[in-house]
Amino acid sequence: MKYGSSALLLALFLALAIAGPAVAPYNPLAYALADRLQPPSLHHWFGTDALGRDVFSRTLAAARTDLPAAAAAVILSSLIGVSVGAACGYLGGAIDRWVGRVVDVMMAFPLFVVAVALVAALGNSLTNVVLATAVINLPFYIRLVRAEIAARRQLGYVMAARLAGCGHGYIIGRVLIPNIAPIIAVQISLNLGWAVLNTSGLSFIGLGVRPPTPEWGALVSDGAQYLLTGQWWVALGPSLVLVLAVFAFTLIGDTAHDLFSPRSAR
Amino acid sequence: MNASLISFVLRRVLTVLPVLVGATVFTFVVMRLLPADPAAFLASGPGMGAADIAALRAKLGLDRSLPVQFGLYAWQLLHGDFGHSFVTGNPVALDLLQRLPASLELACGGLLIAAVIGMPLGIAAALRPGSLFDTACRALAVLGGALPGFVIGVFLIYLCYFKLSWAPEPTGQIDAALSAPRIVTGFLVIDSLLAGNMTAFASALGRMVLPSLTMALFALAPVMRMTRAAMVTALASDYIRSSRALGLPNRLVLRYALENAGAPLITMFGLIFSYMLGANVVVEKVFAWPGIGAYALDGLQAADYSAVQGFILVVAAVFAAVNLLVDLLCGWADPRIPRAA
Amino acid sequence: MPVLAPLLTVRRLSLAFALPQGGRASVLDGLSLDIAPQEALALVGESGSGKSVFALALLRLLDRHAEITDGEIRIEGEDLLHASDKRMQDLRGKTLAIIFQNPASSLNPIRRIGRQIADVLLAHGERSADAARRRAVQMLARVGIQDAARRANAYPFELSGGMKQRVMIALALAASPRLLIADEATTGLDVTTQAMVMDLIHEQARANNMATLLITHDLALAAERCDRIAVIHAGQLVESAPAARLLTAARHPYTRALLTATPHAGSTLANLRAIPGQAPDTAAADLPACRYYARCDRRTELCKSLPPMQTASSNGAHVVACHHPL
Repeated sequence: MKYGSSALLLALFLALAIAGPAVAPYNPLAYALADRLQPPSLHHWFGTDALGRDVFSRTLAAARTDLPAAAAAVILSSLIGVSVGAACGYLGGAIDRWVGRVVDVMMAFPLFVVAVALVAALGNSLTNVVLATAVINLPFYIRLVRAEIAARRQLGYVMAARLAGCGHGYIIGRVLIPNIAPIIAVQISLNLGWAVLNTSGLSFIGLGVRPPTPEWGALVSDGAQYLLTGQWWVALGPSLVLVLAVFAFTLIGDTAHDLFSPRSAR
Repeated sequence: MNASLISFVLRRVLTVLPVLVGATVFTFVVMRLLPADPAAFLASGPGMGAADIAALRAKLGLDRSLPVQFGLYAWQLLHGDFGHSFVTGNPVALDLLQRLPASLELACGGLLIAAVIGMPLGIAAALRPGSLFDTACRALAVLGGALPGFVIGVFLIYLCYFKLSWAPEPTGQIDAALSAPRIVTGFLVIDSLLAGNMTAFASALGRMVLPSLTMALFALAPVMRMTRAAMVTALASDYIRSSRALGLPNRLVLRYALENAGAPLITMFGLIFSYMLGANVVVEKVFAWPGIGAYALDGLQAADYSAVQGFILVVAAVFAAVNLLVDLLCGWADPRIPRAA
Repeated sequence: MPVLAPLLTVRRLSLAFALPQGGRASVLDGLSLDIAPQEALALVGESGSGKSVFALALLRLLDRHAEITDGEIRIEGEDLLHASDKRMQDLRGKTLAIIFQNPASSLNPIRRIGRQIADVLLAHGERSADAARRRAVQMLARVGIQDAARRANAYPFELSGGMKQRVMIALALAASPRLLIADEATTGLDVTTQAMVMDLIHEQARANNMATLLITHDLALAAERCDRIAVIHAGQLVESAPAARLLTAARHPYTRALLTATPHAGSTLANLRAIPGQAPDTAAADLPACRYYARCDRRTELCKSLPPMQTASSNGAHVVACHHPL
């Protein structure tokens, strides 16, 4: 059931990101001041906001902001993190110790604060939110890959590859990393959920996208103003979809974890 | 207190220094090197002209070499000079010092609630691994992990304040009409109680409920998961089997397991506390809470970079202090730690 | 010779593990065994033969995947398998106690050893915490720990391996049990420490009129230290006899194979022989009735289908379960 539902959710969100604008009933940016702050109805499933924009269409359109942003951050941090981690784990020595120390401190540090600082310094844009998200996820990849490679570098098949005359680059890239690919895959799928949380969190506090670009965190932030006057729907729709998206990625990560590590599956 | 214990404490204190140095380097790089013109960046407030920027350049020593610049920067920080905020007009250090207790109060309140709810659940799940209850807890943790803090906060306000009127207005630490008690600990709830001002106490406590509940929900899933993991490890160990084999009563066996899970649990609380320092930023915004996170956000929006930089350094200092406390507490909970290495 | 009522009686004990991938493994099969008061019995078998599981079954400390499918265990006449959990808690430590293999991990690492012994005393009737602490120090002295009053304040990590095993023995002896089980208690210790620990167990058993059940893979050790030896193979008890008799007049083919695989003084590598094959997979659906069947050189079709016949010597002391004993 878990495998099925997580696959289904993944498919749903992929479809949302690709076909979102095509199926959206309204233009997510179009004002309709006559229809402002309408509660959910058959015409407006999630209601309308203060400018009469259709919240459902905006939520759909936001998937096109959040999902690619999260994916880009994850790709970036996994590429860099795996390379650095593999180099540290394979080479060992002083570099490894220093990187290890920095990673340890970074992992325990309030990472959201680091992300805020980076976006503040680099400039308030979606690209920099992606960069900041990538940076704060780096230590997780480095630590994971470092440990896995270090545990394997003395194993028979690595020794055999070395005796066969393979270079270090070949051994890392073609022998070791393929061996730990499932472990990295689990990390990536868990990471996607965190990246969505982080992107939307930063947007919620006003970093990243600029209005009127629809983005889940910004939509919730927008809607939060109307909660105290009773217009709950402006925030509810995007909140639900955001939670569902993060939940989907977590579930997929969990499923991947079960599939790839049979020992802990029970 | 013997020599080895003193040396343990001293060594732990020394390990904090690299964290502080690292945070200083980080803010130096992020706030002064990354922006195109740090002087323009730091002086980018309204009413700052070219002359101000030139003066600031000289003051910051931007014409000197990088190591000298860093030395100057560190020297200023050491003297408590975090710069001035042009939003409040005060020295940033003073602003932060005034707001820090509010943030800590929120984080501590949230951690307390999360611990009181999450630890028993984690322990109960660890006692019956694989049971329905364990599975339910795990599902709850996965679901909880998917809930962003701001969504929780926003809907708690809607439900508890707007719909049910259970909670007071989500605007700050205490009713604006009430005068705050004399500052002793900086925690309004405790200070008002110390002052015997029950009206202020009730108001402060009432206003803490929703934001700290939001923080708690943030932390609940990791508390539950990590408590369960620490207890499962402890319960599966040989000494638990042998203590059962010796006929020790169940309560004592559980106590053995809890004591042995102590150091991992303390470490966990340190991690979660530092995670909550990040979560504070969001929750303070949602509840208009006058803490350092809200201060940094205001600074960010007004391009008041001294404020942001000060905020990062204060978080780093709190983080270092918490880590030191965690290390010392672990040494107290597990006698092997101080004597190892 | 007066026939004493046995202290421990095990009858037809069968036990199965539910396997993670589904199915069950029959770990113990119809095992029967008696231990007389003050007797030293050795249970000898290869690793995986079920001997440690047997010890845990006696204490009812099996994990969730194990199920006792048949048989009964009685100690001093009391039915263990139907005792309440509360009653079991009283019996453990006070009537039967166990010393595990690994003293390094079997002691609570963050509690002072004196307090751990006091905990056992307090669990078994001692009322005063002060008296418990004093008796704990006495116990430590009794198991040969020098400067016991000071050592009582030590944590396990401050002790050597041999010392830790002494502390384990002190814990097991604390409530004066009737039966002391030593489960590979000396495996992993160095040879001189092994001898020291065995001497200590022996001496304490005699001094306190305790019976001992020594669980080991080491036939030589068993012969040296015990009155009687029972041999277990793949969960079946194949032979039991007084130690001297088992060494000289073994009747089961497996016991004989074990003997030729055991080095002793004067043996050369040439007359040391490994036992052919390996113990059968106890999860297999088609286990032969005698589980030594596949490895045995005396097997016939009978051994496959009919459970091995028990034959006892005239005085009942030597029992062998085999259709074709030597």
